[in-house]
Amino acid sequence: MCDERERLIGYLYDECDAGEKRLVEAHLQTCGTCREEISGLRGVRTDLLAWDVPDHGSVWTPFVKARPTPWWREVPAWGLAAAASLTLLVGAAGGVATQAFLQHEQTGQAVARSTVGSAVPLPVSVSQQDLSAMEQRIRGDVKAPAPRVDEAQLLRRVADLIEQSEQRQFQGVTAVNKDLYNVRIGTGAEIAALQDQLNLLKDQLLKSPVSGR
Amino acid sequence: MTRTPAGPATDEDLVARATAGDLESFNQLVSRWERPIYALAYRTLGREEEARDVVQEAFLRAFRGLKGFKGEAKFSSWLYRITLNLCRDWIRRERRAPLVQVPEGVDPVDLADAQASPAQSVEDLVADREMSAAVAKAMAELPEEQRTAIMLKEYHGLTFQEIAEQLDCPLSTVKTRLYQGLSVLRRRLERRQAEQASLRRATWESSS
Repeated sequence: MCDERERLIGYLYDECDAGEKRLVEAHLQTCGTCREEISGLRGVRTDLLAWDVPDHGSVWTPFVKARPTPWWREVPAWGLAAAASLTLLVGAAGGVATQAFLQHEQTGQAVARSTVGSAVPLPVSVSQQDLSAMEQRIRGDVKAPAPRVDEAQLLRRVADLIEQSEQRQFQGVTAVNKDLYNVRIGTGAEIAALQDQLNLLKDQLLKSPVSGR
Repeated sequence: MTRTPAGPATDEDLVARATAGDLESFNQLVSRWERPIYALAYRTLGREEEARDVVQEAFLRAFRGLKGFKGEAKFSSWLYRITLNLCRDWIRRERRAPLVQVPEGVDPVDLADAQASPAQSVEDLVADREMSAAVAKAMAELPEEQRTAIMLKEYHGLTFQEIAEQLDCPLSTVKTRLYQGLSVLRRRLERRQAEQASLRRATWESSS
């Protein structure tokens, strides 16, 4: 075999420049050994294509983006409680004002009340006189001052709600700490028990006739 | 890989995005390279389960090492290097040459459910299966450096220069290893084919 290995391999894999390629082809014209070598190596490359890799499916579990935290989870509990209380109180105050606004004396006809959930059917016929009287009454009610909301009471109520929320959180944290402490104590006890058993086994092994002691 | 306006992102783009924290970009890199990496690991180790472990570990290491990947080499080259190192570690740990799972024999009945092309006969399937096993066995018997050079060249299309960088050896050494490895394979496969031909002749003569 001529010492043309490197050139032949470059030619076989088509990784040689045009000049090299011409040189090799010219050589192959005259050298039967190298011609036979190239042919044999090409046959091997074809055989190598037969080596199958079994289908394996995917072995990788794709990364999943963490879900964004909802905005309300970032607000402290006492803040949420305060906002809820304020909303409730404002709604209640509004309801009382609306009730006062719409309520009027009954004159033998049905009265519409604005209290939540209640509806009284109106009479089939309402006279013009009745409507005018109702209008006068409403105008009179609108001019009357709305009942005052006790601000001090509201603040006290909000403060109570905040304190209750904090106490609940504190109790929850205390309970978790207690559980963790118990687990640590339990685990420590188990480890100590295992250590004792290992020491016993070690003593037995040392004393056994097999160990030669 | 050249990027076109509507074409897929290059490896370099995906690596940059993944380094910046875009996990989906890393998932795309894995989808792109999982099959070739598995093929490399499987052909190196000869075992499916171990190859799967190597693939998983290779991508985990790549993910952890992304920030340190400077982009001086191709991402694929880096991945191949990680995979080959893991395979070498496995082989050294097991202290034996990789075993190739060569089937004892091929029962044509087992091939009844095989997905074959309509043009492929059972005999063709048997022949393909036997050839695959023969190549796997012959490759397993090669020295590691020759086998690795042939695998990177034949199955992964690396250039001589890229193989030289992977294996930390000169260009001429890569060519020598390829030449020697292919020559050994040629002798073994030709011997096997001669034995098969002789067996078929003997079977035919005994049945006639």
